Amino acid sequence: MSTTATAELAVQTERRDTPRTPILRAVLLRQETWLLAVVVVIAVIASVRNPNFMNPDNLVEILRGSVIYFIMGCGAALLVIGGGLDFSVGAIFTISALVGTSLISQGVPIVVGILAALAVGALAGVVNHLIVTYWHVPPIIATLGTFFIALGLSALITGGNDVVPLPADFMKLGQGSVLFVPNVIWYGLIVGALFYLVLERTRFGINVRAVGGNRQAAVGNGLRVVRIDLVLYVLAGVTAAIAGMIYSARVGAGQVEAGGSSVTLVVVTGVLIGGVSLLGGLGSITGVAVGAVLLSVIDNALIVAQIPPQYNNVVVGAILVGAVAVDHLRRKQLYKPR
Amino acid sequence: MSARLDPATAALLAEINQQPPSLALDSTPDELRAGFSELLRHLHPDTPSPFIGSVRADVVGSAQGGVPVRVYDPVGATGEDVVVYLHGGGWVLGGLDSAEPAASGLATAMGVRVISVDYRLSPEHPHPAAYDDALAVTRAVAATKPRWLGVAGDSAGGNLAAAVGLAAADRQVHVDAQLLFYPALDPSMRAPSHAEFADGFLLTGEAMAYYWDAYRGPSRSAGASFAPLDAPSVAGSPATVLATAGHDPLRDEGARFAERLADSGVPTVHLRSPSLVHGWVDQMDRVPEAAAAFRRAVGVFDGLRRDHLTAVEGSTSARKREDHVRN
Repeated sequence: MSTTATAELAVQTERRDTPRTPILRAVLLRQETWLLAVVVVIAVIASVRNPNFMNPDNLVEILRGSVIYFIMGCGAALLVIGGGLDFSVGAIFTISALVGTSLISQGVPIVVGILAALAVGALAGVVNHLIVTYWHVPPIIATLGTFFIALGLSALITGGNDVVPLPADFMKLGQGSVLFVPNVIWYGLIVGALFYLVLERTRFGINVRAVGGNRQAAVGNGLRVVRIDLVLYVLAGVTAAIAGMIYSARVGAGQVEAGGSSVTLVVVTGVLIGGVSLLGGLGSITGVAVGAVLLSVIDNALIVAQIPPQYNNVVVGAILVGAVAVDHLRRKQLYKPR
Repeated sequence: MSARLDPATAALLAEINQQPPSLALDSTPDELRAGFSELLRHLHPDTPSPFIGSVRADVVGSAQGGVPVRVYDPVGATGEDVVVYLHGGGWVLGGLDSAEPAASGLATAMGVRVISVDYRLSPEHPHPAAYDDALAVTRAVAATKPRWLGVAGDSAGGNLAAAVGLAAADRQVHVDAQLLFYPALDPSMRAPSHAEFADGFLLTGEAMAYYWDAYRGPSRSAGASFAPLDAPSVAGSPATVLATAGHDPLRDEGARFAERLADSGVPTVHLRSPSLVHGWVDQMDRVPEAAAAFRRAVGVFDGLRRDHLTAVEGSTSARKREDHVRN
């Protein structure tokens, strides 16, 4: 397929940046704009109830609360944009971290342990891809299945025990701060920047949008969709593994009970709230970042504003439904004949 | 989403709930203390203590005339490494007897001297009395220049240990490591776990509010020695092992403190026991998972001690080598 054809396909899929779109309209059409508005509204309400909400420590706390989900969300979002879905990320997080930390705790060099964890994440991605592509199992079911398998294997590997102790040099990777910003937030920024560049500035990113936006057209135009799918599932697995290892270094233990269904749900919810369309083709890393931050802001604001935490799920659910409805309208706008 | 409640814990809770309430908050403090002792007798069947060594009572000097302590020296302990243990009980309940299983368990598992502190209780002696006693004992031990000094405590004792840790960060005393079992750190009680586990998991939200009020006293105490999570900075705190329980109102404040310590560059290990409830150190005889969690946490704490000693020995032999080369 020629570069021109690929670009045309991508433009057909995602027309938000066409020069014909007035800037204000383009801004208003972006999911991030609306999400930021929601963040600002919540922040204002929380600040009125408690001025401490806006103090720098609390803002760092909010970012810290979102960063693990954001890192996982980057890989998961790219996959959803490409038309896939991964419900197993919460379990990949657990199993890869347990394999990595088990090796490290047994004296294997830290770098090797980290690479082994990433390899487990990649392998899980390959397995997901094989099940979806060659067994024709819908992604939601395939990855739900691997979710349970990975979680069960995690418990088997460790006998249900957390992996401790871990060497201080490994823990240092997840603990401490640079320029008053916790290390873990820097990791989020690095992963986010890499995924932003891949999605927005590479041919692979254009192809991902093309495959997710119109799979048949992508195949017709000669894109190697199976290979793209494979890379996307692997990336989702690897980012889950990265998050798992960062988390383990942060808490100083490989935790059997970390990850799991709650992590999967938060990651997928953040990705969807962030404007990544389940129908594929649409979405951005900045949207995922705002989605993850929004979830953390809701958590934090309810605590700081002394609103009972039971409201948390109600608010998150309402925002999720609202965000997907807005996404639908946005899609209609984008595809409206002019 | 919470993990499932440990089956042995669930059975224990059901058993306790069938008994008449022994900790009615409208009772006098002494009645509450009697009820707490009764509960602990229930939790510790007549299993013989695995502790082998000497136990003696002592009084450690302080400005207020001395703090009673109980010193556990397991067989083989040299007394060079010491853990100061601060019992739980909401600053209102408990004492040397209630701390016996945890203190002797620590001594046995680590093979080091453990000094259990009989600090003054609230509401008769509100903050800072208990903190002052904890700090006084730690200072007195630190003055003997042990090779390694750790502080440890559960629940309210975890609060006191963390507060002593912050005093160490402030260079008021030298402490090498701290072990905090489900510490009480945030009197605002705003974290989500407070709403999630307000009732039915042994420690109730109502009881915790009572304990904070009793400890706060009429002077409306505040500050980091009262509420360690409010400390403007936790940097410089001793290396930390913080163990929380999944079904505990205090779960989230413990987790938040661990995050703050980690971000401040304090070597921190946060161990979660998702299936356990508050007070699991007292449930070790009845709940195998609680005993396993205790062994894990103490194992990591002991690892910090060993690492410290290795580092000290390393630098000492390096210094000797340098001296040798120089001479």
